[in-house]
Amino acid sequence: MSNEKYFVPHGTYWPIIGSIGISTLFVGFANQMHDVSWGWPVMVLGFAIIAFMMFGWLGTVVAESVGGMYNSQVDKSFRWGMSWFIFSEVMFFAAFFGALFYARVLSVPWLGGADNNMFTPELWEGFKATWPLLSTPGEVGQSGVAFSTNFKLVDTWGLPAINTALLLTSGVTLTYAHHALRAGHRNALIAWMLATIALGVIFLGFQITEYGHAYHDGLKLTSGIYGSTFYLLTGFHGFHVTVGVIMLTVILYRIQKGHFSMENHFAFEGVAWYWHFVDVVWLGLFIFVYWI
Amino acid sequence: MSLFVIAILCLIFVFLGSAVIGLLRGGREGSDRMFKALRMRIILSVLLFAVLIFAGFFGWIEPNSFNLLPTQ
Amino acid sequence: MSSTTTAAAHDDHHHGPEKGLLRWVKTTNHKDIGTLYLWFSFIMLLVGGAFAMGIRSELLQPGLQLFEPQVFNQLTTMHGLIMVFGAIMPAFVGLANWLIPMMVGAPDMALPRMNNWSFWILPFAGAILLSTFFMEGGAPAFGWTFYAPLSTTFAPDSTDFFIFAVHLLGFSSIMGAINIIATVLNMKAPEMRLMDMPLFVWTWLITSFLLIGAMPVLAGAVTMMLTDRNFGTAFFDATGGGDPVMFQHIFWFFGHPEVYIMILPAFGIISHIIPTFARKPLFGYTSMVYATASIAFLSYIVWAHHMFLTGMPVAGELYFMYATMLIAVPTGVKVFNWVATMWKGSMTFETPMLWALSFVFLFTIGGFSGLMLGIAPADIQYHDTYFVVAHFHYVLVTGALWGIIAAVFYWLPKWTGKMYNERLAKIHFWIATISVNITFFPQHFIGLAGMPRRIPDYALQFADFNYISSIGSFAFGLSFILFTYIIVDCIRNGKPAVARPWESAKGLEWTLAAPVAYHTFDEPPTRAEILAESQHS
Repeated sequence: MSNEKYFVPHGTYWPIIGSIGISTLFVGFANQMHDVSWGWPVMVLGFAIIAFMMFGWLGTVVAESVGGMYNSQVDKSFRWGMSWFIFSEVMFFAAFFGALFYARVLSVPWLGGADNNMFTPELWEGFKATWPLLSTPGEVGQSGVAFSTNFKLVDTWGLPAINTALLLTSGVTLTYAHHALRAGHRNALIAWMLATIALGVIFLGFQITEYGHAYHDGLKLTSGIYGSTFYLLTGFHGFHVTVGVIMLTVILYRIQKGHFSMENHFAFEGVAWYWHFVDVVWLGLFIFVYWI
Repeated sequence: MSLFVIAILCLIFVFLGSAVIGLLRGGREGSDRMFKALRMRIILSVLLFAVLIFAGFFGWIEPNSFNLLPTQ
Repeated sequence: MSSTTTAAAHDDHHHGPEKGLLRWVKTTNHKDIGTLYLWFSFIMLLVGGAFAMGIRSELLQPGLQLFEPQVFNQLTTMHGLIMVFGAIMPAFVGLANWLIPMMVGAPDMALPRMNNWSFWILPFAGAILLSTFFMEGGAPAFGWTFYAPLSTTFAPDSTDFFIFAVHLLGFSSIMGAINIIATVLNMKAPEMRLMDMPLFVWTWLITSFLLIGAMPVLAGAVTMMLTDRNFGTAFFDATGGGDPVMFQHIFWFFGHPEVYIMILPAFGIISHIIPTFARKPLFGYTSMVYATASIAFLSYIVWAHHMFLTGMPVAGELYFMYATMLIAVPTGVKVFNWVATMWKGSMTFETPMLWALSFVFLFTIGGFSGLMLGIAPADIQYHDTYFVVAHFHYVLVTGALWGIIAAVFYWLPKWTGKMYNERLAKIHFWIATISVNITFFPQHFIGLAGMPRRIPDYALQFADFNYISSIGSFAFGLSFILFTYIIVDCIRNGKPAVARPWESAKGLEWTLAAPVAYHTFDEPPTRAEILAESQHS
């Protein structure tokens, strides 16, 4: 069943619910950071509203899709939307990678007196510009935070390498799942999807373990620019893996329900691309944060 | 060695980009393009990881050795 | 889902709007959402304008008059933020919502639910932003560019709310941009080729790419600010190995494309109005498209011309100076094309044309002062003076805002089905144009003479020009009361307008009845119709 006309939905409450949810989350978060007692509960409430909105909104869209209300042009709109959403994600990570490169290539050497900055060593006596920056120029930040320096670096060949192997393997299993879907091998598809999700979950577990070790060894958010870039890059990546695992689980559920055909499985393709993207971002992290 | 690693990483990104174009096109053709590009990207990634492991094992590169910092 | 539901949903297509207030909350109709955007941005314009009146009242005379310096800084900061993110950007998205589907012959925007969300985030973001005034320590007072460490170490607690407001505004812009790209490229009539598209559609398409490239970087910048403020990171703190200048790099990597986000759609609007009232096809359509694309590309590689005084390496300064100069070429192409369109045309001067002409003239002044600022050695004198203030008000007020007002008068008969009062509108135009020049032209002089921006008090030698500037600004502010009256009067008592109120206006939107039906272009226009309504044939 397919419609000739472009499907324009009629009236919706989900966006306003989403706005209320996200504002609640942010207001709660801001208050939590200012040590207001009701910050946490409000944050959780906002999060719950967003989750409710996501389930409701996406549920409606899935129902409409399965109900055959979308023609090929609507399908194309979703494809455009997903592609450019992905591009915005690329630019978001680019900002943090940009910060990392700027610090490594320009500002840390400048602090150490490179180029025409011969007076900076006078400001911070004994400061050595190295990367990873194990000791910060000052001991206390402008905001009064005491920097956690002389931390032990995460061993590149420990958990990070294992995690890279895990995530790359999940990319391989997802590719097999993709192939199985296109070839119409339902059981193989479900098995490969399960493997992908499992690998993603194990990755997240190891990442949390690694954070624990790093914190124990003194590498914290307060470890100067190295800790800042390390945690924000890996942290946002971990957040995206979490989102990816949730999306893969939803896709697996929809596979069980028989929502996809060999020809038409845009939702699977979108999520698969997202997973590959998250995987490549990790490879970039592994190389630039842990390696080079 | 480091530059080689970065070059492969860039190539992986090109395939990832090609996959988006496949995703965008849709249909049988787009689906094919997307699948093939993603397959290429995972093959390259695994290769790159293998190269890193070997290079590390034989001591061709040390972690955090790529340094633009001036000697002091 | 059963087929009956499908049928019911289908029938709804041909109904009019729902009744009552909930219509506006639930709506997925591009015209409703366009209206919401436009009214929201108009309210924000009045709020931001009120802050500007406060600023100019304080600067009427030297010495501290009305506000504590801290309050004054809050006013300048919020004036800038509200105008950029609350007034100009949403107004253009509103125009895009109203016009793009009609111009490309589409039934609606490509992703109507998301369209609703990208609007309905805005009032929440605006409320969070404005609520900072009532918080302990007051609103953010670090200027709209929120440079670190002013915005990290030395800012009030309310800054965290500001950060989240910026996040929300970013979500809204990104969703709006994605929707516009999908609409233009996927929903345009099958018979319409890319080079048939009207220029407003082209400029908005390119603006959308700028938005999707730039807004996530802004989100990254404010996220780093957030962690620097609350979680002890050191991105912008040199004592921790970071660099406050890094903030400026990241900010202006967003900020420079941002200024083109605010002007490219206005270029599109002017390219519609001038051919109509010159009664000639647009001169150099193809070059207009390529010039827009070049400006967009260049906007990504010139950001550090805002930072000539940060101690960049000289090679960097030279590169950014020359790259900046390059932008003058495609912009010049546009200005000359507009002038050539008017050359030997049978011109008449209805209100939209007056605004468009004023735009060409005054925007060019702003463009030239921008070139002056782009000269790295000269910028040492101009930097952070009122010259900069004069420059960006010439490009943003008499550029972006003029484009929006021109568009409102040009398409108002189509939206409302009624004509505005032409005589009053012309009076309003002259009051606004004269007063805006009285306001901002003297600021060039006091800037060159060395008066810094963002200060509540100044040396005596700047008193005369500041006085003139303030008087001009009060007149300009009051002119918006007349503007409001003209719009409300048009909606309530305007005479019925015909479908094509401007005799030689071209474009698919003019083939629709006025006021335009709730749902349009159920059937896409044919190639013949598209070519007959082309701007450039």
